[in-house]
Amino acid sequence: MVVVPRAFSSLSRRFLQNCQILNKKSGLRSVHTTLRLCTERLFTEKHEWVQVDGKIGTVGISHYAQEALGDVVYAQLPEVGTEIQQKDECGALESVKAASEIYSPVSGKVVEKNVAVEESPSLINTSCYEKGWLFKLELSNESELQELMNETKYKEYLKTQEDH
Amino acid sequence: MRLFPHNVAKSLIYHSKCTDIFTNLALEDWFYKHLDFSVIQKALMVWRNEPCVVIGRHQNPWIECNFFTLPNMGVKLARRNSGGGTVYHDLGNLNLTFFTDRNQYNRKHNLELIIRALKKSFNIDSEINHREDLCINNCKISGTASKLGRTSAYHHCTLLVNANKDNMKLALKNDLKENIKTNATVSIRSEIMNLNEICPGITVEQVMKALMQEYNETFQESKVHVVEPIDEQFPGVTEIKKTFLSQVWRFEKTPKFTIFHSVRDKEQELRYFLTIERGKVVNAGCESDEFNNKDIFLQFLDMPFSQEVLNDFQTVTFVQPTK
Repeated sequence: MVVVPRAFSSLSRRFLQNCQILNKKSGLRSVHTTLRLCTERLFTEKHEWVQVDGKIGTVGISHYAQEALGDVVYAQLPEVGTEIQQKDECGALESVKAASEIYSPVSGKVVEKNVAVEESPSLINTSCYEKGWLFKLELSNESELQELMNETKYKEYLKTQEDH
Repeated sequence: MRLFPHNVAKSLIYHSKCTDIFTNLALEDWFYKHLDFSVIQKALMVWRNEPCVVIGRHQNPWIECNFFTLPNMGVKLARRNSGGGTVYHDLGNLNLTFFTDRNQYNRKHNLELIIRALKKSFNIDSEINHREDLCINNCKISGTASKLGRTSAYHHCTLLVNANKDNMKLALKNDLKENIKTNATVSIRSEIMNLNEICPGITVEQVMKALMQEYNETFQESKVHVVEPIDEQFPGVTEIKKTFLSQVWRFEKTPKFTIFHSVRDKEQELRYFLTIERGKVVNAGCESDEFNNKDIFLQFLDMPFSQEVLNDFQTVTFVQPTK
């Protein structure tokens, strides 16, 4: 259980490093590679995602997580300005009488919360990767991203979870 | 050490001697934060309280209960950490908290355990409804809510044995909610029933024993600990209790809401509003521009919301229309 994700994270780290090497080697094409990489969604084992653009990371929960929660009826999001450490509790989502704590996949300072989700929490169910994002933060430790899984790795990880 | 014999028992039962809602919520939170359920696997906390109203984590106390009357009734008002709706507790109601590792969290299993206990010891037939509450003939005998964290989780529920239904009705009465707009979780009202209505003479102590016995049979080697929630045994529990008692947690945590007050003026109906966020008035006025006399409403801004503020607001809006 513990070994598997670690193997994934080391794999994804290697993947990132390879891409950086690729960037240095080739010219124009690498620009596209960088852009694509920057906007790639990264996942935690606890089913949160973060998408990084420059210094700003957008955080949400995965499709698997929203499905497990059921209809979200209330979203309590962190206030702008809050400093969050990776894996800190920073809010809660309520569904079917359960309050599920929200954890941040990365450390940083909250720069925006999704007011639309506060108004209509069901956006998390209907559009967890687009309109249903939760908050944006300015990353304070980009190296934390290396521990996260890309979408392919995350899908493989989900398969290992179903086996249990 | 005596309290947490991790290497001996795989599941534990804690029976709280205390009957104060704030202390018990603090003890529950202490277990959630301090017990490692990957080691001890499971724990059950059995507790009850003197009269109180307990609202869900994202609820509005002003619309969920008879807010301004509770103090006169000697009923405490608390906000818990789990989701869901408002419940009333007194000593005729038993509370159960099932703690597990997040991966082991399963409300249905816990409720089935209660069903088995009621059947075996009292020959009572109960069932789980679509909202995961326990019912007898469609009348609710137990309300469920839960909290899920990164590694630990708990499911807690009430069980009505011989609670005072008249007090419950009065404590949960509310006339304000029709005129309020909010995103807060709203309670779903249900017909309720005490176990003593179907099993005369049944006591909370008997139900408690039956449940502990069933828990013990289901998860072998369960050890029962009668505990007093004090710092010597649970370091920091008093600090947690202070949070549960605080104004910030009980009132300021309330999701933003707007109270509307309609007044008829000649041919038209005017809607006045008062918006409260973090327990304080953040906006007040009239939806119709020509009556939106800002000066009159200025007095309300930043005021902590209270019965007095509500009365003043209604008085001002009643006299206000002067075209």
